[in-house]
Amino acid sequence: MLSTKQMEDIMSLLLIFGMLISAGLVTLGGAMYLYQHGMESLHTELLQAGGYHINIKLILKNALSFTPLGIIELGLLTLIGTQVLRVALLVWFYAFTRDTWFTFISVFILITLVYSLVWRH
Amino acid sequence: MTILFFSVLLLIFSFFAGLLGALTGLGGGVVVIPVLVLIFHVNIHYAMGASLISVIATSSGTTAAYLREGYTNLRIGMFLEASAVVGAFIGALLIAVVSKTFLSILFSLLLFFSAYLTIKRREEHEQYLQSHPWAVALNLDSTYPVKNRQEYYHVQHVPFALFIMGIAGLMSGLLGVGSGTLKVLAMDQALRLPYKVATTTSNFMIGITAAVSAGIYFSRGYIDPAIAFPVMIGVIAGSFSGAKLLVKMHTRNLRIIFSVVICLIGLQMLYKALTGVV
Repeated sequence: MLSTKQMEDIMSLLLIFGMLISAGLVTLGGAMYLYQHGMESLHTELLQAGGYHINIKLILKNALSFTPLGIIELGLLTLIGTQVLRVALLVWFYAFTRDTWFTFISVFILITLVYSLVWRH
Repeated sequence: MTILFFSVLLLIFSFFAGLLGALTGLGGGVVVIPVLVLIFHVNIHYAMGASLISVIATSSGTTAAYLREGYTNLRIGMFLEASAVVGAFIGALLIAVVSKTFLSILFSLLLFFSAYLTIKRREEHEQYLQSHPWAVALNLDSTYPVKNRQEYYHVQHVPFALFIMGIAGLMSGLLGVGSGTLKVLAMDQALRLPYKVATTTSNFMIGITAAVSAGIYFSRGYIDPAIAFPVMIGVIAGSFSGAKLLVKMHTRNLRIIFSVVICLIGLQMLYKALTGVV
C-alpha cells in the first residue's frame, strides 16, 4: 500500500521535473529571443508579441517551428500542464486508497481544471 | 531601454516576487503587477498574465520543497480548493449585479482587519486537545516539523473556514483578486493551523487556482511570452530561496511580513476604488 508520505515524494519529484523541463524550455526560448531582439528598443518590439489569441494547437505549432516565443509558450504550457498532473496524481492516490470523499473532491477539481483549460470564450 | 535591459530588471524584481510569495503563501502577483504597470508601463492585461504565470511558478517551486519538509497539508488544500471553485462560479454569475467599487472598499477594509488578526494571534499560547467533528470525519489533522521533531495539530472550525473560502471564491470571481489572502486567513484564523502549515498549504493551492484561469488568459492573449519568460525564471529562483528561508524563520516575523503585504494590497485596492480605476 502506498503511504501518504510516498505519494508526497512522488508529487515533489513530479513538480521538480515539470519545473526543470518548463524552465529549460523558457530559458532556451528566452535566450533565443534576446539574441534576436535584445538590443531593440522596448516599446517598439516588446508588445508586438502579444495581442493574439492563442490555443494549445497554435502553441505546439509555433514551438515545432522553433520560433523563440513559441518555445517559451511551450514552456509555460508545460508549467500549467504540471498543475493538471499533480491533481491527477491525487485523484489516482485517493481512488487507490479508497478514500471516497477525497476522490470525489479531487475529480471535481480535475474536471474544473481541464474544462477551463480547453474552454474558449 | 533595450529589451535585454528590461528582461534583466524584470528577472531581478521577479526573484523578490517569488521570495515574498514563498514566505506569505500569496504568490508573486503582489509584486509583479505593480512593478510591470507602474515602473514599466506595461498594459494591465499583460501584467495580469505575467502575474498568473508567477503564481503558478511560485506554487510549483515551493510545493516541491514544502512537501519534502512535511509542512503542506494536501487534504486541507484539496478540501478548501473545492469550496473556492464553487464560490468562484457563483461569483462569476453575480458579476453583473454587484458594484465593484463597493466590493473593493469592503474587501480592503477586510484586509486591514485581517492584518490586525494575523498579528494578534499567538499560536504558541493556544492549545487544542480536540478537533472539530468534520475535521475528524475528513481526517484533516496532521503533523508538522518543529525543531527536528513532528508536532501534532488539531483542526478547528471547519464550517467557518468553508464560509471564508466561499467568500474567497466569490471575490476572485468578482474582482479577480483576493483568493490567496483569504486562503491563508481561513487556515490561520478559522482552522487554527500552525502558521507555516497555513502559508505552505496556501502555496500548494494557488497554483491550481491560477491554472484554472490560465486557459482564459491564454485564449484572450493576456500571456505575452516576452514578458512572461523573465518573470518565470526569476520567480522560480526566488521561490526556491524563499522556501529555504521559511523553514528557518520565526513564525512571528512571517506574520509581520504577511500583514504588511496585505495592508499594501488593501491600500492599493482602496486607492483604485476611490479614484475609479477598478
